[in-house]
Amino acid sequence: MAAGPAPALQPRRRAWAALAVAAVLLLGAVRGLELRQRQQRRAGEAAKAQLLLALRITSRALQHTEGQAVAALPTATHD
Amino acid sequence: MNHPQPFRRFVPWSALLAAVLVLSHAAVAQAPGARLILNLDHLAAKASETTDVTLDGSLLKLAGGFLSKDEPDQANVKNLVSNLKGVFVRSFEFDKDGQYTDADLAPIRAQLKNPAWSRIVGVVSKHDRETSEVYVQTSGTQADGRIVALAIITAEPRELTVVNIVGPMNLDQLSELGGHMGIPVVSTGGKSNPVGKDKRPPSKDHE
Repeated sequence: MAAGPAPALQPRRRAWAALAVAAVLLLGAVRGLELRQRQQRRAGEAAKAQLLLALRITSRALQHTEGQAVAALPTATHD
Repeated sequence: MNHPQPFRRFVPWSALLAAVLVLSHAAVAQAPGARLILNLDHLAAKASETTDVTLDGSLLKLAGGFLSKDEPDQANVKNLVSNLKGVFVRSFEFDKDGQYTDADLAPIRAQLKNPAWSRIVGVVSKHDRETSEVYVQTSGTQADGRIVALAIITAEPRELTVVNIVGPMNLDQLSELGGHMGIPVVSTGGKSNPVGKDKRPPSKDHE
């Protein structure tokens, strides 16, 4: 007996399959977005930490310079 | 190739206009030589502790985005860095003396000889073998101009720090950060109230 053409998916099954594919795509997109946001947050926090470290060192260097400058001044007489 | 007369006239003028636009943008964007080449990487091998911070405009913007406007401490930092174009720090701590020489700093000092830079503080302590230098670039005259770039070199026998900040800033703003978020208190002219790991300046009673 010759096999006929494969029966087409039932319309309801096709709808479910399309829904499943859409759900997978949506989940993938959301996950990708989350990962990207997490990476950005991590990079931002790292940049912030670097910035605060730089400001701390700058402030300390200015403080040190100020200390040296004050020490180098001749004993001043103020009113 | 024969171009019509108006086109031939247009080409040199448009090139000139483009050049003027590019140059004026460059002049506004960054003062000449404001960003120093801090070629001190070779010292890292000798140092017991190395700090290397390189934050260009985009990273500063990113960092600024993670500072809260609502928390006063962070808002001050956010305000300070909002106009900055770059923050570059190299700091080295050594276990013993003599791990670096003036020759290591010579290329940086050579850049600071550019007339755009003015040295506003230079202290050499032969006794302690320490030097401190502060250089600025200002946008107008030095008296009333705004600081558009800052360079600091502090050299101690076992510690070397070079800081280069590019962009309009106010030293008072920097001092206002002191005491918050681990930033030491610095006075920029008035009373000094230093804290932090460095030794305090010798207390001099002005009477």
